Amino acid sequence: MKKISILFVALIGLFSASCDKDFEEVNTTPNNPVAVPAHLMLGNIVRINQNVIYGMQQGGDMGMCWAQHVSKVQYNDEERYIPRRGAIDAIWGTLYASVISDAKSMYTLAEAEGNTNIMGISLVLQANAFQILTDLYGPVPFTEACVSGNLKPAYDSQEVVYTGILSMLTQAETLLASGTGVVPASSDLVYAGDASKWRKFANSLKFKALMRISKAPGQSVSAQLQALVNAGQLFSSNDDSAQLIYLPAQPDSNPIYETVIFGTRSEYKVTSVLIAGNYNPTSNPNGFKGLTVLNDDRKAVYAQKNTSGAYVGNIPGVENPGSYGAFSSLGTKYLDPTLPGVILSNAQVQFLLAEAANEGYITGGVTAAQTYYFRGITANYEFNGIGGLAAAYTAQVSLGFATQVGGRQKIAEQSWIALFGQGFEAWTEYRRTGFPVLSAVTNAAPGVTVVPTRLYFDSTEVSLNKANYTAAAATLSGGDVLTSRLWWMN
Amino acid sequence: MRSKFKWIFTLLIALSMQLSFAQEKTVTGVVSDGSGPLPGANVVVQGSKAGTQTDVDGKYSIKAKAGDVLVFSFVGMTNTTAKVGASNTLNVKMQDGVKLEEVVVGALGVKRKEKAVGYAAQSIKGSTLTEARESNLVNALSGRVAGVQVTNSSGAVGASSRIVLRGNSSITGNNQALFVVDGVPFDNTSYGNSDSGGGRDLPNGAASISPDDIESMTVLKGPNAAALYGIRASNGVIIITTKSGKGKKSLSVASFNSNITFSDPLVIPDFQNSYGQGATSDFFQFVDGGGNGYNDGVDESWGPALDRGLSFVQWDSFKVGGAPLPWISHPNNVKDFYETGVAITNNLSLSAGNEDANFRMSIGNSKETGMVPFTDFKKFNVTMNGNIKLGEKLSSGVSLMYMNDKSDNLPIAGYNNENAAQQFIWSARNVNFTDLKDWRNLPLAAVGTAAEGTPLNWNTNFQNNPYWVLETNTNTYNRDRVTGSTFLTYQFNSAFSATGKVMLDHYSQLTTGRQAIGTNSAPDGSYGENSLRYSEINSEIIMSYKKQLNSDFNLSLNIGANQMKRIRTQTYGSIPGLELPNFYSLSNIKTGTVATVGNQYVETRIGSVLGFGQLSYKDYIFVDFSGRNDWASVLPVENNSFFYPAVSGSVVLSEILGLKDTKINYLKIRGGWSKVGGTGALGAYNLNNVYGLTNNGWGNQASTPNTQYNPNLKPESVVGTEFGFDLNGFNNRLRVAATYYTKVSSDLLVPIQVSASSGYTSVWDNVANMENKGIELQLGVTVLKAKDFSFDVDLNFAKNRNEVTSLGVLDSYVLGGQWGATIEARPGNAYGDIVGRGFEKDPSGNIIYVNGMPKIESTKKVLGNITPDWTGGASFNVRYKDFDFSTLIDAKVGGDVHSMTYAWGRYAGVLEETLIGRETGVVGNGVMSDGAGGFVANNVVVGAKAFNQTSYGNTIEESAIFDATYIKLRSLSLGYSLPKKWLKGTFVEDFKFSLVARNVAILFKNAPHIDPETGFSSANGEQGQEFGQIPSARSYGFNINVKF
Repeated sequence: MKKISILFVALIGLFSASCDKDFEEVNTTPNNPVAVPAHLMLGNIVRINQNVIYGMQQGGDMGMCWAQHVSKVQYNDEERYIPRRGAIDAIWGTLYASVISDAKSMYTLAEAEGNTNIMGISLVLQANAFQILTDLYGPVPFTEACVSGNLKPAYDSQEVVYTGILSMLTQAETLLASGTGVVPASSDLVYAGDASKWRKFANSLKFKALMRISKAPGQSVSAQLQALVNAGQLFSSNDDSAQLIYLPAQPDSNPIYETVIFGTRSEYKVTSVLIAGNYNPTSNPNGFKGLTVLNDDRKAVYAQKNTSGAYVGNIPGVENPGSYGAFSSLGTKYLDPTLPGVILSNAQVQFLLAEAANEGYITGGVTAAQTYYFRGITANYEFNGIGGLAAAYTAQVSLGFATQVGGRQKIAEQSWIALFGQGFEAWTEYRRTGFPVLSAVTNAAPGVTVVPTRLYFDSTEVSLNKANYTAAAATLSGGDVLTSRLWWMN
Repeated sequence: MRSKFKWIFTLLIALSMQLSFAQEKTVTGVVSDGSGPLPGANVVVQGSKAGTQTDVDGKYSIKAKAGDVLVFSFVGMTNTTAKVGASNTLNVKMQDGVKLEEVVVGALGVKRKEKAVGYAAQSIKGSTLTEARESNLVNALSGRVAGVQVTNSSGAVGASSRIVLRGNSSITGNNQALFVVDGVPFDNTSYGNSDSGGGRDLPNGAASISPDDIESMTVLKGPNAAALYGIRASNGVIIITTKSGKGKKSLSVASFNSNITFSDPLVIPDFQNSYGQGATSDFFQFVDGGGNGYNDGVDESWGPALDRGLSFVQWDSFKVGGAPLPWISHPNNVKDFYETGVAITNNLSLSAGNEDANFRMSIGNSKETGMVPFTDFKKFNVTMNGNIKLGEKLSSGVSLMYMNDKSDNLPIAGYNNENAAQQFIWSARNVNFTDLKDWRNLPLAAVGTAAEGTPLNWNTNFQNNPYWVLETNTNTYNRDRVTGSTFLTYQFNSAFSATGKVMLDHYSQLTTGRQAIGTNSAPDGSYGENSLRYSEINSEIIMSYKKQLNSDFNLSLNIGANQMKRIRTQTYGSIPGLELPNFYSLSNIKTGTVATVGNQYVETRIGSVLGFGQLSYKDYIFVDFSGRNDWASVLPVENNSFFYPAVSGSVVLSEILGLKDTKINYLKIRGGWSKVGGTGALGAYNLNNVYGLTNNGWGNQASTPNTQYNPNLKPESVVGTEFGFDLNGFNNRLRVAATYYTKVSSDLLVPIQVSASSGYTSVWDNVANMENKGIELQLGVTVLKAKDFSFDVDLNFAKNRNEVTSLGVLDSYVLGGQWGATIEARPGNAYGDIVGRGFEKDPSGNIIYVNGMPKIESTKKVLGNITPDWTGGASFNVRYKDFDFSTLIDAKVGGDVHSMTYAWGRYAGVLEETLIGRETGVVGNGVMSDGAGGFVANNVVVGAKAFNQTSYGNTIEESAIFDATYIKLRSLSLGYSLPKKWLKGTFVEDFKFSLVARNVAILFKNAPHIDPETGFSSANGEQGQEFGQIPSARSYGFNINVKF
């Protein structure tokens, strides 16, 4: 009997650990850190941002195809303006929940560390992401976005968003101008820890934002643009360009490579518009003449020859599924795993300066405009590895301009050429300037007669944030459709 | 094994010799029941092998000696014993009603007389599991038990199955029943990673259990029955009792079972055989299969017409020096791809026992080869259990199961180019796929194509050679599992006892996945390993008190405590590219790439105290009550203690009203109320606010989680109420049971999706409520019962109405989906809405066409729901002399399925429906604008390809949603037992040979081309969807069972 009692006491002992005394400890994860230094978040924010913008389902199927740089010879629904909602949702979800939200966390961590450089960098990245969002969708949550405790943020008008973006960039300039704190090179995938370059980026991005809204109702951007030029903190060489250099091996290589080469989607071709233009003396007298006519050396960089040894682009919207080989694939540079994912290039800043001068927003007039314009072309030739050919190219009489009107189209067209590979930015600048003159693709989705002007809102917003979604959609000219006008559109 | 048989044999011979020396006489008599002589009753001498059966007149004759006890048994009757006295005549009257004394195994393994049970419980005998057997035990429950819904994911070896009792009760919890084997909670997780986008399905945990070891399975369908499992009870419980040596009076039984079955596909899509590969029908020329010929890179069949004397250069023209080959159809090209699967299962068991101890052990193995080439699954198990009286008051027992499951290759399913079925949909109807099998002797795919360097395939753009993929890109699985328990019971006195029990469920598993260089989705190849260890230990102590209060009242009371500790650790590594080809090791990482490595440690605990008891009055009124308090570690400490009460009762009206001698043999009414809990998908550490770390080519990077933690959570709760009755009549030849229940789930935990603009994509909260209401009916009829012939019919029916009553702030919660379709929970609807885009329709419901093409709505809406209207089963059992025949028909009626096989099959021009209008064009069935605001019949002719590619595919879901109803002939078995008299004098006691078949036919379905019983895995969000289904298996074969 005694033995038995001992046995039972032992069994009861199994329960001696009281029921919840150490449950809090049990339920504390050993798998994840509860604190990290601010800089450790920087690389991820840039990487995630670029991956979604350059993802072929996003920047390719919509950006590149809608800018009519690229066309698919098969499976071209998106090109014909029937986009995948999931691909659109991915941009919204990623930029808010992973880029902006993390950038805000990084700001808070940096503030606690007293690292004003990283605080400034955080604001630059937030401004960049918000600008992408508002340029793609129109009105978007800004003031209430990523604010703890608010699960249904209200949308702000584009005007409010842009005001916010400009203010963030002004603040970033202040922080970075007298920045303190180390930005470890290993965490800074853009400038390897050079805070002075981030400062230039902040100012150049502000210049871009101002130019984007330059023709929006009630905007007067001239003074701010001139101030930026005067301050001398804009990009001035390709070394200043903000870009993520992708790595040779997937999954850290350029998304274009990952889809087209690694994922073997060889239906992506360059367009006939890019190669041969869409100019027609009668039906499209202001049309684009094409790289061939322009004697543009970038043709051989942007495109490969087809199986017959010629540069042949696919007509946007037309399927040619039987014969992939008859059309020119993207050039090897653009299919390279290490192709940089550009955030903002020196070339684009030069073209924006050219436009600003041409429009009289900054001093210098048409002459200065042409100078900036040639700088932009040269910078882009250099980016494409053919800098030595730029002088001969720009020496062509047909390329220069002497009037504001002539300059307007040429600057915009050269900017569009230079933005090859930057699908969304090329499409956005087209939407702003109206150049090159593009028409809706052949076989466009029923009811779509023009190149889309925006993306649908995230498809989950209608259920997750209904009231705010409905209110925002009501502010759009045609509601939440692809062809509603954006505020800054020309 | 052979030596053991010899030993048994020798023993048996020795035993029979001993008997022959005894003083014997011949005892004769008549066995009768209430209605007269009983033919076919078994008569045995207790403790010996000697036995006989009564003849047509109920007469028997047996050799026995005075003092022997004769045991009379007959199906449906209570066993009767009689002592042989001086007389040589012994007449016996047997009583109906084994049923009345049937024992139900309840929660915590507590055994109860059937009449004392206040809830619906249904059991399945082990013998129904072993003949027409399923390799996944869960499938054997399909159609057998009212209110059980089983979904077998696919016909792939190692496929998982889902089992839901009385409808889904949680939004995010797995909704599947808790498995308990001999008191040990048995983890039923499936660790597969298959979903709509591909991946490999792995079997659910319970699939490891060998059916040969199962004595019975009892389904505790609702919270009432399961209440004693507290926070783990919300989805019901399946109690498995394994066979033991209990009740055996000597080294009585050795049993050997052998089962061999062959399987082939039950359903294959109906393909067209009139047009071959191509996007255009004018011409075809294969150059490299990657688009450099004409139509050769296309994976669709809108190409030139077949069997019309055309010849083109094709993928296999290399065999004839590049010359054109006849452009002809191969109608069986898909069917021929699948091989005949073979499954061989053997099991040997020994059991023995006496009054003080018993023991059983068994050893079994099975080897299965799949219909998908180069896939297999093997199982090996050893089971043993024993109980012993250690003294007057102390008894103890131990049980142990070891299981090894192993596969050298499990197929990839879903939308993935390693799923061979995908290239039968994105396909060329002119290709004879079996010609690709000899891949070692095929040329390599051309340089510059996606498949470069791998064996040639008809398409090198999107696909690899399917045989090469299956043989090279293997996915292995190996799991060792040990479960067991040991207990000690001390009977202090006749009223008071105490039991301590320790239970263990432990497994470790390793899965690996290989992709060779040149694989379409992994051009650099890849290799990954995932090693996982799991253990759950439950320690339990229960004190019991039983007392007859007076002549009318009996009371039992139990109090106890349980502590559960579960630890799962995982270590994984994968490399995104191979340096050396065909060498699969984590060290073989491609230079410049970064391996993914990680580990996880997850610990959860539940502490519990519990009490339960029963008060009965005169053995016909019973009241059960129980309470359990759980403390769960996954919940916030200040909010982690919860009490779960239950009460139920039964009244045996037939005894109260003295109906015993009427047509009504038995009538019981029962009812109960209970509250149980659950934690949904909330796991350990979900309350922690942490950062994530990702190591990539740039270095280590930190990020914030997209799911916001919430420190104010509580467990889900489910309140169950049920009422019902059981009625037996006409000498138990009619058996009816009916139950009505409600199950109200509230505070359901959901990581609610929130607008990403909040900075999070989801936030944990107790927001949702759900209700299930339903009825379950069982009807059994013994149509005929005679000496040589009996015929039994058993029907079951269950209708469950599920409604998501609230989702809090949410309008919908997305569970899963494929392409444009999502599976969602939406308030006001049943769980599992299929949401997608529909056709625009006129007020009369006709599809509106514009220029001959249907208009598609831009806003998504509910197009269907995966929940069935009702489920049912019908089994028929016929016995004629030594033959028995049984069959099971299983029905699931209602519910919908979204089939991307159909959508892409029409888009790609491979299904037979795509022949319509190939030459003449198609006029869509619907209306078009009359230009004046009204509608007229559509009359615009459009090309068949354009029509199919607009009306089907990934931009419109409505056209690919079908009624998922099926009625299946689930099993057939025809058995023959050698007559006992033939076996007399041999060491064989029973010998039975059966012809068996499973999933024989789909008697009715509405969904074309597929088996509507399908899922990408057993998970919530993977139900009601289909693409590239690995065909379900029709299997047939035989079973041999020998008892010694």
